[in-house]
Amino acid sequence: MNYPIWLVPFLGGSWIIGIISIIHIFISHFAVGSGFYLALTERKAYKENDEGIYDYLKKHTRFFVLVTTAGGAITGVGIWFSVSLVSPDTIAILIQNFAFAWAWEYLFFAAEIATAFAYYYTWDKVSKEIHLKLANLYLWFSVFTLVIINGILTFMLTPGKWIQTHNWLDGFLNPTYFPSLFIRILIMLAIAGIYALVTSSRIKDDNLREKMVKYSAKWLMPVFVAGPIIGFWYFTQIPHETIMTIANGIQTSGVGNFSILTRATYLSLILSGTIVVFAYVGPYLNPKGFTFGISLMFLLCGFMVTGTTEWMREMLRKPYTVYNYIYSNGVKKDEILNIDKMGFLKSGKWANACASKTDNDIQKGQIIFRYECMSCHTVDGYRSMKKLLGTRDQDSIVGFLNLLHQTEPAKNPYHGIMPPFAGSDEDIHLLSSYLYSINNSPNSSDHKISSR
Amino acid sequence: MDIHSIIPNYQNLPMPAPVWLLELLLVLGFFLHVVPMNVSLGGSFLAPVFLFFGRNNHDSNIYQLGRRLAYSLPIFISFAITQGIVPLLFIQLLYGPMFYTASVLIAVPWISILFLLLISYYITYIVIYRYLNVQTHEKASADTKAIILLFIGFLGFLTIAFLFTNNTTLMLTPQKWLAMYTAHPTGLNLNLGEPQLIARYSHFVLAAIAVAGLAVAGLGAYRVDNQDEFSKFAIKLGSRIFLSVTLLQIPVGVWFLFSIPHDIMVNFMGQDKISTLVFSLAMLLALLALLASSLASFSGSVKAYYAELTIGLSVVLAMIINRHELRSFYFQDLIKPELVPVKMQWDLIIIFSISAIGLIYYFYWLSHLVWNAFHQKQQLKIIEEVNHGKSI
Ligand code: HEC
Ligand code: HEM
Repeated sequence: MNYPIWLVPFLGGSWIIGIISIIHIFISHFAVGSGFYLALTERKAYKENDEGIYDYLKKHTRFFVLVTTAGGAITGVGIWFSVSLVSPDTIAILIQNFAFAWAWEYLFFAAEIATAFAYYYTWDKVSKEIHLKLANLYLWFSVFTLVIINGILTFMLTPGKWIQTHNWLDGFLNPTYFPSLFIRILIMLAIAGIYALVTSSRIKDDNLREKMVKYSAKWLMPVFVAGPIIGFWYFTQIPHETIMTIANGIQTSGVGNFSILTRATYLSLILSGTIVVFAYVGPYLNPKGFTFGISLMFLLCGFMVTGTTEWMREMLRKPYTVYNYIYSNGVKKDEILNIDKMGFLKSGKWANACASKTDNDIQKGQIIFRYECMSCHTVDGYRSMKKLLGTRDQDSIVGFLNLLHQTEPAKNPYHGIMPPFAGSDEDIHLLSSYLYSINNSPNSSDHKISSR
Repeated sequence: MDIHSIIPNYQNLPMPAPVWLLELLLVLGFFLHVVPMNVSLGGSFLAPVFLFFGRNNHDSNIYQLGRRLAYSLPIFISFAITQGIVPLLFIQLLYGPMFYTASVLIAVPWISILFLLLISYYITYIVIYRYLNVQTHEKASADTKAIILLFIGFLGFLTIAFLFTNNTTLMLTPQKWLAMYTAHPTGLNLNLGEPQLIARYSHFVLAAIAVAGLAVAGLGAYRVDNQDEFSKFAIKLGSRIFLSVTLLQIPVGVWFLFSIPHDIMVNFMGQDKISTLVFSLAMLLALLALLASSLASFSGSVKAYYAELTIGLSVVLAMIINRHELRSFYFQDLIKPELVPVKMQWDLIIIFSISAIGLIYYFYWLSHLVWNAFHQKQQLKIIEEVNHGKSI
């Protein structure tokens, strides 16, 4: 309400962030995972004095540089761009807290990129020892970028003591910092293995291909062994309420319960299990029959797991962007009482400015809808209001909003899924008029589309 | 309407450092962004032009120069992106309320920067590995494709720069915001009505070509045997590009100056002491840069080139300070970051500073390593060539 809202028809802004993030995560985990992969594999080549592995690594490096220096950096900036368009208040909070942590990460990132280029361009131009040293340096720089950014990412789900102290370090070394760090490293190893399967499946020499395929498949195993344990640790650290949401769903909801998060959890587990099992019986036990085509299947599966897992992590945090501090729709938790008193449209600069342009109740209601609901819903696309409201009349919409208005968990069945409605009774009236008009206004353009 | 009613509030949290330090980091960070960005933007224009003029003779200096420039582009682009992070961070911290709002208003073109960047970046890689590499470099059709593709990449960078100028000017003028948002809340806006826009943009694009000229000359000075014919050729050509574009910059700069509202412009003409001083210094440095570049254009000497480079980059820095001052004058009555309370994050700032020194040292070490790797190779090649010549 402090900022203008970017209207993204059909998809909703959160999907713009989502799509860019998933691509970025898949690439950046590859970047760090490859740090391990390149360093350890080059050490292997050095120890065994195996020119074949060296040749393979050289080819793999080009692929690696092409993917990480361009794709990784641009999508990373992309997350930033998209979050600042969709949730400017949230990104402002993160930046005001962690500007220097980010600046610190940037230093390692710059070192990482420079080292990646140096590593790539100095193959055969420096001694093998120095080249191996570059691989190790790359590994350390990339791990450090993770060590730093992980603090900021986990802060959003579990800000820990920061909520009271507002001290950056309390937010940074928060309860999920370590479990998340270890899980991410395991995932990185697996993703590096998956990418390496792709490049090693292209090796021409049969013996070498078998050797490297088998070797790369091993990289998928650690996450299988240690993943569940660390995963359990992670789940003990996240807010209790969120776990309950996963388990129970919306009990009184007419739309079915919130088991979609549970389903996503299963999906992610099943997919990753499948990958590991197939990696074991496929490239590991049977490296001869492994082809480029199969490796692409692994890549696809890996991408899907990354997608569902990150999506799940996002869902866990809902309805907040910074847990217990600011909701997805930009309303801060401790502002709600004040907004109830003042009225929503008088509480934020841009909400107020937009509302002052109209006298029409429905249009005012639409403004409230944009601010309070559109971070998760759209009118007729993703999580469509049209569908969710169905045939409700205005009274039952008011009833629904009154429930949503309750800040006490026991009285609000949507607690933990949607932010409580912030606003006065007048606001509820305005919003319900608008919501009702979505399915019931004869001259609205939405209606025309639906009545085709 | 009271203009302050649509300037969003800062977060209810302290700033991690005093405003002057954040401004310093913004300006320095932006300088580090501008240099590689200029080489990417200007270089993606110059490289295809060079290749075009050398297309009939691949051994010609001009073709070789175009090829080398193209090969160096990915590194510059990558650094332009990485270094962009610093100003992006501090501009949000200092002027978030203005910057986020302007970004939301032009959201769709703004986010398209990502795609343009991705495309232009990968185009340069495709050109290098497909069309300029050894196997194909004799074929004429590969040349044509390389030239066309690089030029498309240039158009991408040109558009990105235009979008940045749209945002950095829109954030200065909140009086336009509400009407723009009401017209297109979907973010399909641009700041085309801004009187400063085209002048400012032209000024920056020309500067980019001039700085890319310095990089071209640098490709000559970088050679170990930098008194050879190629090296002289590169230094002369690069310096001539810098010289002529900077001469052209004089009328464009004046145009830019007069496109700024009069009450702000006068600050640079004596009203504000510091700004006037920096501005005069920039003019003086620009004059010196013209002298040094004429010297380098005629002699092709490496020493003249280093003078030209140093002064040229100082002009860029001085201009960036002017640009920062310009923004501060616009913001004078609009927002005041210095009113946000400060709670120093000493621990982080100290770790950051130590790491920054470490990074500078590391870069020094790494460039040394890379330089040696390539120059030993080159020297070997020269020796080989000499031996080869003898044996014939
Ligand atoms: C943090 C994200 C979020 C926000 C913000 C949000 N919702 Fe929801 N809403 C959800 C989710 C998740 C569901 C469950 C959807 C499902 O089951 O498919 C839901 C379900 C609903 C339903 C159907 C529930 C039922 O019992 O019928 C309605 C109606 C609804 N939301 C209206 C709103 C309105 C009105 C607002 C704004 C005041 C709003 N939502 C804000 C996430 C959100
Ligand atoms: C390589 C492609 C790029 C080009 C051609 C480019 C060009 C420009 C130009 C011309 C400006 C000045 C605009 C003006 O003041 O009118 C600018 C500013 C800026 N650029 Fe870039 N840019 C590029 C990539 C990036 C990236 C990827 C980032 C972010 C990581 C970035 C961050 C910034 C920031 C934050 C500013 C504003 C700085 C300030 O106003 O103090 N740029 N850019």
